[in-house]
Formats: sequence, structure tokens, C-alpha cells
Amino acid sequence: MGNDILKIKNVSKKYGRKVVIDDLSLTIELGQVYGFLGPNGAGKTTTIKMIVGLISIDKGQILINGYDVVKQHKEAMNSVGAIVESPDLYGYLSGISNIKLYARIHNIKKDRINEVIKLVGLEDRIKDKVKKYSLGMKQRLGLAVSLLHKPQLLILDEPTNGLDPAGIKELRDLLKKLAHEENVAIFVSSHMISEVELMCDKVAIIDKGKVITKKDITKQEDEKENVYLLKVSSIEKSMELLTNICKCKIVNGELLIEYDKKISDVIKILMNNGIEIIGFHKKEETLEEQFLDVTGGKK
Amino acid sequence: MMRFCKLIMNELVKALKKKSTLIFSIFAIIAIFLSCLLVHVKKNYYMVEYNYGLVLSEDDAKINLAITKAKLASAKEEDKKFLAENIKVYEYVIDNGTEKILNAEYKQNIMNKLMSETERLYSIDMNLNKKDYDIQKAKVDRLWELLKGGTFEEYIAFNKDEIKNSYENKAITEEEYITKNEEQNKILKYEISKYSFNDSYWKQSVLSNNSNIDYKIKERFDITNKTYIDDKAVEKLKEQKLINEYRLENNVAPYYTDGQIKYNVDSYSRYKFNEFANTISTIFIGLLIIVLAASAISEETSSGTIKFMLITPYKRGTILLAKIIAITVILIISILIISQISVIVGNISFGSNTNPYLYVKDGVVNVMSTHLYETLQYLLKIPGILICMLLGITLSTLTRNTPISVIITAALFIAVPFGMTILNNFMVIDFLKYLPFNNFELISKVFPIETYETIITSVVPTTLNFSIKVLSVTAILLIITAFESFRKKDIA
Repeated sequence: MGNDILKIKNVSKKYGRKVVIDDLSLTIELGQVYGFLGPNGAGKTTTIKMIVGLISIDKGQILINGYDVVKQHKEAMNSVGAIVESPDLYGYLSGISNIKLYARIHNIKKDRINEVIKLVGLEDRIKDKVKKYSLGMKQRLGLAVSLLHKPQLLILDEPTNGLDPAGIKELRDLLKKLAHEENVAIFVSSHMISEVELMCDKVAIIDKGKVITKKDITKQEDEKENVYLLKVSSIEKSMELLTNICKCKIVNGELLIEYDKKISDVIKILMNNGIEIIGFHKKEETLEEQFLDVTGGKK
Repeated sequence: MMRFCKLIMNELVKALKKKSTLIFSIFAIIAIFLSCLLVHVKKNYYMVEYNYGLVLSEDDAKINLAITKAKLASAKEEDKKFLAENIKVYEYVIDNGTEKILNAEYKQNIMNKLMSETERLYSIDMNLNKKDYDIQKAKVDRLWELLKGGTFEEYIAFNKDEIKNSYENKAITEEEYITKNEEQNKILKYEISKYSFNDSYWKQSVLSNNSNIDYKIKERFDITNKTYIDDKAVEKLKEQKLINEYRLENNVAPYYTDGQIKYNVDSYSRYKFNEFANTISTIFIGLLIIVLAASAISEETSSGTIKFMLITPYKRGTILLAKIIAITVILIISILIISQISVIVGNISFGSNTNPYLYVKDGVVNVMSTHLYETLQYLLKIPGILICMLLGITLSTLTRNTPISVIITAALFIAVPFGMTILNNFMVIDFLKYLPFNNFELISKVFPIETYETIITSVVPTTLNFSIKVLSVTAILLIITAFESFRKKDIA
């Protein structure tokens, strides 16, 4: 087992005849921010609901900390904090009353409550009724509730919904801190690629209930370091000059080159031969392209 | 266990902070004060209607006098003598003041008797039957004396002499003589007719009720219902007799129906107040509980808050059980609070301890204090509301729809008892007694009361044990359904 906090083993779910989740398997380790990326209706929320035991599992098994979520629900849920779909709390109660409800269940002391409130930045509005909160504030409160009992696995379903850009950045930093400093495993579902890219260490792309690809974002960046795009005055001449030094091809009227050594060498050669460089940038195969690639979306 | 208590605490916090809880509680309290007002209005209305002391007023006496005088003018020769005597009686009463002479019911009886005996006196031929005439003459003279200033005791003594005479003349048997004498002793003991008509009328009803009971026990046959009386029923009749005797000896008038209001206005008002307050305020408490129960699962599901609840280390069954217990706690506490408010309002408005309950235990009549009696009446409403609560929770988990659950449960809670009452006026459908809603009424089964008036009902009678069985079975079925459906269903 070791570091594996969440194991999803060949899980399937059907609604009537429709297969919503098809043989899905995932493993999440402690200290990891795991992105769960997929278009709307791909089965992200269904998967999360199965993880926390809100809906039944037709086939397969889900283990949290080694406990089966169906058979050992109580033990499994001890180490989970989650926001599913949206942070729905009791609107007619104040923020602090809501937190106290869950604090009572988990035996949380007052210090920890204050700590969590400060962590999500809700000190000023915590005594207001939740129905007066904006969506962003509700997200923060939901996060506070989920974090109360210091879960080892934090599951967040579209956590940036309703947050302003500053809030998104705060959340991102907070999640990274939790994962990397406090060794919490964080499972974030999203349909926004940029968000996942910035936040996560690993990502699984899911479509129509199947995991299509799993990527390690940190490694991915290393691979792509040596691909560049050049816009030059004369493409044919440049091709001739560079064929011997590196791989190159023409893409959309731009020159794409792969070069492992210093890129300034290439530029020197071109300039020495009187070729004007109009544009130059490092080419990265973004997650977005991959995402659209695999999900068959159009650019 | 500790964690489970905390879960219940959470449910209590959630339920008590709801606005509907506050609103319905306020309505329940308002209902108590409204009942108090209603009964005051009713009391004043009846006080005016029944506030007469004597049967014959001065005006009545004058009218009777005029009629008798008119009769005298056109009467036959043989009737003229006694009519003239009657006129003398009326004139005496009017001259000395009707209020003063006819100041008690027994005086009225004396006057009536005087008139009838006078008529008899003049029907006896003085020459042919001298002995009878003299006896009758002495009787009439004695009655005149009694009318002029006889006490109640002297009146009873006269009656007893009458009975003795009849026995000596062999007009009645020894057995009849003994019972009649006994009756006079009771009249003397319980001061029947010593004061106003209202004061003694109920005593006579109770006395005749007792002699009815004696007859029923002897014959083992109920004439009104045409049924055989078994041992169990005999026990009940004997208890009723004991209570009747207690009422007579301690001068405790019955007051349970409108017809009995004149005997004991205070107790009647208190009884009615308690009846109204109990009925109306428990409807609001019931609605409060139904709203809490019927929204318990469905509201949390539709608003999504159930998700946070379920992502805690609790089984689903535990969460549902905590909800049921929390609502039950609220039900019991609110019923207790409302009952105490009701008792206090009743004490202030209609006097304390004016509605005690008489019951027989080990052959002795016991008096349950008003406070306990009224509180227990409120507590007896709990089982019915509890069934509605379970129905609400079950519908809530099955339909996941708050309005539908609330409306169906509330409609069944309020409308079915009324509907059944109306239906029962037209026909009696026997199997309907198995419906739980026909068994909510426990008060009349635990605290049966004798009203001394025939109240016609065609409701299928069910016993307390039967009701408890029906309610328990319903509760178990509802609990099983709710738990099964909640455990298995997906939270979409």
C-alpha cells in the first residue's frame, strides 16, 4: 500500500442501460494533487460520488486508506474530506454554526475551527447566514468544513467555480501547500484545463466514463523543452541551412525545430546567413491540445 | 454512543433554528389563549341562559292564580271547593313573596303536593268515609304548616310517614317500603331538593344512574343497547357506581357536556377549555413535527446538504435514526411545554384544580389532580403525532420531495379524523377501524368519562389495546420502509 491513499479498481456504474463509468482505475498517493479532467458529463462527479459512498458501485472496488468504501464506510470516511458538486450547506444557519455542526461530529476543538476559518479567509463573514454568501464564499466555507478534521484525502469537485482570480490563486497555493507540506492527497475534478495544469502534479483525462490518458505534468514539461517555433523571412533557405543540424519541418508557415543544445547556436547560423527572424517561441505541447486531441474536440 | 448523541444534538440544532419551528410553536401558544377566550364567551352565554333559580316565578304564580279563578267561575259544584283552596295557596304565596316562600325546590314540591292532596280531600265523602277524611285533612293541614315554614328535614319526615302509612295500609310491599325509605334517606343525606333546582337535578340524575346500574347488574342485560352484560362490563358498572357515590357524598357535580354546564360552571369551563386547547394546540404541534419530519431527508437531498452529512463516518441508518430521535425529542418537549402553559392559563382563568379526574383503583375512588390529568391528556396525543412523523419521514425518503410529503402527511393528520367522523355518521365500515388514523384518539380510552347523557355515536368502537396494536404495527412498517429506502437509494 505505502503511500496510496485512494485506489479505484476497475469500477463500473450503469444508470439503466447507459454505462456512465466504464472500468475506471486510478491510484492517488499522499502528497499529490491529482487532477481529474474531463468534459461535462464525462463521469467526474459520478466517480467522486462513488468514492464517498453517495451512490452504489455496480462493479469493482474503491479503497480509501485500505478500507472498502462500501463495506467499511465508517473507517474509510474518517480520512476523507470532500465537496461534491457544490458546497451545499445550511442556508438558514450562520457560517460558524455550519462549521460547528461538523466540528461536533469530528470532535474538533475551537482552536482548529479558528485556524481553518483563517486558512480559507472567512474571518469577517463567518457570523453571517450562509444564504447571504456568494458562491465563492460558499466554496471557502465548504473547504473549511472539509478540512476541519485534517483529512488525508481531500476531494474537491470543481473547486474554483465562483471564485475570483485572486481567490483561485489563493486556493491553488493553499492546495499545493496542503499537498506538499502536510502530505495530503488532493483529488480535484475540473473541466478547465488551465486550472488543472497550474494546480496539479498528475492528471487523468476522462471521457465517457473511461480514463483516456494519465499524465505526469512535471515530467511533461521536461520533454517539451527542446521544441521551438520560428517565423522567418525565408522558410526554404532556413530549411536548407538547418537540416543537417537538427530535425525541422514546416507547420502552418512556421518553422518547427527540435534542438537539444543551445538554441542561440541555431539563431546565430540563421542571422549570419541574412535571414530575418520575425518571431520565435518555445513550443510546448499544452495539455489543452492533448485534452482536445483525446476527447475529439475542435479547436 | 457519544458520537451518536452528538449527531442527535446536530439534528436538534438544525430543527430548532428553522423558522417553521418558531412559527408553529407560536401558533400553538396562541391556540391556548384563543381557547381560553372562546370558553369565556361560551361561559357568559350559558350563565345568562341558565341563571334561574326557581321553576315558578312570581309572574307564573300570578298567571296560575288568574287561570284558577277563571276555572272556578265555570267549574262544577263539586270542584269548586278545592279550586277555592288552590286560590288560597296561590294568594298566600304571592302575598308573602314567591321568592321567600318558594326559596327551595322542596318548597315547590310541598306546594304541588298540597294542591293535589287538597283535591283528593274534597273527593272523599265526609259522611260516608269519616276516617279517611280525617286522615286526609290532617295531611293537608301538615302540608300547610310545611309550606308556611317547614324545614327540609320536616319535609323528609313527612314523606317517610307517607311511605309508612302506605305500608301499613298494605298499599306497598315490604320490599318497596324498604327501598322507598332508603331513597328518602339518600335524599336527606345528599340534600336533594334542599336548595335550587339546578343544585339537585344532577344529584337525581346520578342517583337514577346508580339505580339503573343496580338493575343492569341484576338482570345482566343492557336495555338501551340490547346487549348481554359480561363480567368485565359488570366490573366497569360497579366502578361507575362507586364514582357516582363519591360525586354525591363530596358534592362533585358532573360537567362533561353542554347539558351539564349549569351544575358546575367553573369545572365545565375548565373542562371545555382543556378540550379546545388540547385539540387545537396539538394540531399545530403536529404540523410542526410533520414539517420537520417530511422535510428531514428530502430537503437535505434537494439542497445537497445531505452530502456533507453522508461523508462523515456514520452509517446512513444511524443518520436517519438520529433524525427520528431528534424529532421525537422535540415532540415530547414541546408537548410538555404546551401542556404546562395550558394548565397555567387554565388555573388563572378558571380556577386551579377545577377539572379533576375520578377513577377507581382497588375498589376505592381516587382523584387525579387537574394538573396531572390535563398533562396526561396532552401526552396521550404523542402516539398519533409520532405515527404522522414516521409517515412524513418515510414519504420524505421515498419521494425525495418535501412539498408532496408535507401535504400528504398533514392532510392525513388533519382531514382523516374529521372525514371519518363525517363518514361514520352515514355508515359504519368495520374494516376502517384497522386504519391507524382511526386509532389516534386515546384520551377517551384511557380516561373514560360518564356524561349521564346519551350521546349517539356510530363510530366503530375500538379498545385501547386494539389501538395500541394498530399504532405499533403501523410504526414498525413505516420505520422498516424508511430505513430500507434510505439505505439503498443513490443520492443523485
